[in-house]
Amino acid sequence: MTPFLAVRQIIVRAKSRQSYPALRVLSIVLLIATWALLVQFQVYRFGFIPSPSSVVRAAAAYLPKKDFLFDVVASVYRVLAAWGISAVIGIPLGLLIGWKRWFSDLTFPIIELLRPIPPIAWIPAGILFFPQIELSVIFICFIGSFFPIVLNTIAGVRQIDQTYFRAAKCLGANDQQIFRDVVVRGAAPSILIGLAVGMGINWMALVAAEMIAGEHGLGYMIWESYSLARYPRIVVGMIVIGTLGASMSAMIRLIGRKLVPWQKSLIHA
Amino acid sequence: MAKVAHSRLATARHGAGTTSYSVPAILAVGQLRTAGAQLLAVVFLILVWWFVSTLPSAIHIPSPAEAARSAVQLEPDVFLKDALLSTWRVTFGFIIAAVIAIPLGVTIGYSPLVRDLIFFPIELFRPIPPIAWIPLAILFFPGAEWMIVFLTFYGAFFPIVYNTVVGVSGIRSNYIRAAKSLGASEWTIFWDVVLPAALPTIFTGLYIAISVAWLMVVAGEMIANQGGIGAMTWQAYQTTQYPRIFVGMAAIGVLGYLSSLAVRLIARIIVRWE
Amino acid sequence: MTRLIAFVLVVISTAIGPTIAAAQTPVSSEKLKIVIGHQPLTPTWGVAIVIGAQLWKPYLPNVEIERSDFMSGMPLVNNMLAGKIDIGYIGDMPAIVLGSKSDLQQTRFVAVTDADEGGESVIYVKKDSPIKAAKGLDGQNVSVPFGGFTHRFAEVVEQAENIKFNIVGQSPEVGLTNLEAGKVAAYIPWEPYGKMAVARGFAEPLTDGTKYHFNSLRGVVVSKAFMDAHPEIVLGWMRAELDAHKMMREQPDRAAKIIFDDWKKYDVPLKIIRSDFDHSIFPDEITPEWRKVLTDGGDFLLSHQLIERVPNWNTFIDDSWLKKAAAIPSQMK
Repeated sequence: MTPFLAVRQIIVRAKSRQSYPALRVLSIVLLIATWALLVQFQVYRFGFIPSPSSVVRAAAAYLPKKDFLFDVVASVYRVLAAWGISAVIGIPLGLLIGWKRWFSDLTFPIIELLRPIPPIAWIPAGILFFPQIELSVIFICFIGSFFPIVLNTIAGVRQIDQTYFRAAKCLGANDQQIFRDVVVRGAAPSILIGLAVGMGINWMALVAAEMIAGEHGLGYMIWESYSLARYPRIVVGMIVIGTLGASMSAMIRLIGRKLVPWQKSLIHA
Repeated sequence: MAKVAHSRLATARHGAGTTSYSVPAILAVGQLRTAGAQLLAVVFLILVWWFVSTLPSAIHIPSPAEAARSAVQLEPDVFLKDALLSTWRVTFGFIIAAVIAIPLGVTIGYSPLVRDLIFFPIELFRPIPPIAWIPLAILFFPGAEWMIVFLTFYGAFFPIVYNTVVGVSGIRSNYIRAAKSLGASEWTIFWDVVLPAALPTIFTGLYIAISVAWLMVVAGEMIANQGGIGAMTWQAYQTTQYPRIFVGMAAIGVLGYLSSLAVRLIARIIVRWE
Repeated sequence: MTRLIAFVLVVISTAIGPTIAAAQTPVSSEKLKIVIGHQPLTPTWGVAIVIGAQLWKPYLPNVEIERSDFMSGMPLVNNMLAGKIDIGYIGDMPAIVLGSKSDLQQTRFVAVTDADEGGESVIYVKKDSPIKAAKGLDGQNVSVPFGGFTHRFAEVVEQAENIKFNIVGQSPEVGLTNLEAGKVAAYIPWEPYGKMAVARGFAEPLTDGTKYHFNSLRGVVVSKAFMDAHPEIVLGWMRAELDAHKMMREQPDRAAKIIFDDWKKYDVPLKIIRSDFDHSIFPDEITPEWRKVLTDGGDFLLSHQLIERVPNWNTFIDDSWLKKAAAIPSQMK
């Protein structure tokens, strides 16, 4: 085989590949290297940004400490509590809205009116209504995860093929049975997507929510570091929160796929 | 080819068990019909609000009447200026994000090489809460305006890219092969097959992006304190002018809702035109 | 006769002319826009007076002021470190944080705009609370803005009374609601929040810093780069600052009214602002007493590992500008 043919084979093989793990690693390395160089040479205003080495140092100073453990536990607790409450309230609510038109007419406009208000804007209301700090933090996170869960549940119900309903009624099923076997089963894949998305947004809302936390929490750590101008620590917090949020969301999706294998759906809300 | 895409979209909109559809389309089907029902719902909301404000633990939650009184006391021209400023910041960042993210998403969707080199690091950034970027953004950007627009851009960018990638790469290869066998050029395939089929998902991305952009503008304005509804609301909070907080929240809600509506309307126009 | 009158007129005008001219000599004719940063609803009043009464105008006629108001300290420090604020009016603790970040941005503490010997640090409890003395707060929840001067005050009280609080770090507006709801036993904000709580009828003062000889201050920090590039402007501003001190000392009612007008949209009653003047000092020099406030604050922040190092006090504190400005004749009316 001539060298020309060999190279051509490599290129053809490369073009037909579906993934390039080596490139992924390279992209990360390039990213960090670019960041380090931009800060080092103070390109434009990059001199003000913390360098990768300062972030590593801050991580080394913070992660092994007990404080970090307390912060993680506090944040995870708040996220789980808020997520749990959103699921308990949001799923039944969404199922009902998706299923019964009269209920949807009454409650859906309220949800649509409240939905655009971002969690951070709820902070003053949260504090006024729940003076106890822990509850107000959980409330703000709840605002974050509630709407994706409800919306995805509603969409999950609405996309159920009408034939299932007709078939069930033909077979003499009552409302309760229809609810259990058609509505819930049919909406299940969407609900799980809503739960996964809601978990992710919960973590985002956590940073806003813990602005008022006062003691522990990853988000609180970020705000405290902000007020003391300790910027590398903020980056450490961002990375930790991002990792935790992504992993918990992925875990839910994984569990979801195991629990609900019977329909594949791709709602991205 | 376009007809195939059209019928796919049609089924997507009525959601008869297809594998790809958008939430707004689904919800559009079940939208409110009668004006009477809508009115009833709003009345219900106000009643709930009034009830909540009378609860003993709800110190300082203003009743609807108090909030209305406070709204009337706001100087209309200052309030309008704040509202326009926030809307401008959201729109500008959103448009820049769409202009960059959609072509980028298409490229990533087409090329696994680009996906691993560029999309992979982008996805790593996605779970990081956008609000956390504020301190660094303040350090980096010389003016508050650019800082806030960057934040709205950042918030809008990720959902648009992600949804564009999913939309483009989710097109069944059968359609593409069928088109190729009929002698269609790469460009025709893209314009008449891939793009129309990907549009619903892309629009879902835009729909999500506009709400994230509003969230970011509010957060950015709260910290930067350079005008806007977010700044007005946060100031009211810091100075314990409680009824004003609720006026601000209501304003944010209404403006956010109108922006999503605008995106949805534009989506419908473009899809119909296609 | 006419020649005599003309002669007298010439003499008078030659005498008055230069005097008037001297009185109207600006410190700097430089044309520039400068950014002044401050946090309303804290006792950093100098800026409201200087800008509100336009005290800087005679000395810096061609300078244009851009005000950067922040509702909390975090973004103010953030913006100063980003080099976006030329002259900042901030509290003692944030100033120390700024000074400790000399690697990011060089700043200088050039003046004390307002200080007190304990009157600013007040412990508030719920009205008709059974707690009658600081000792009664042992083991109780105490709401304090974390890392601020009242946080240090809380520690001083703990040490003096040999008790331990459960410190809850909350910003003043959060603590206000918490005190009202009874979620905390005590609240130590900065003014005017404390007095607002009293005015709303749910709080009363328990004790304050005068008993513990706890001093605090608010000051003026200037970016070193700005100072090097425009020394005359800094000088002119310091002259205006001294005028503001004089007004606050000698005409407190007028000063309070100016601040009240400046804070109009924040809805703080004039009475509350005026009453705060009673215990306020407006030093024209950074004497050792006030230096100690800064160095003690630095030790506090360092001991809690809230800063990596204390500022270099010798370079950071620089009251030479005030001293030079004092030599310039005042043009305040």
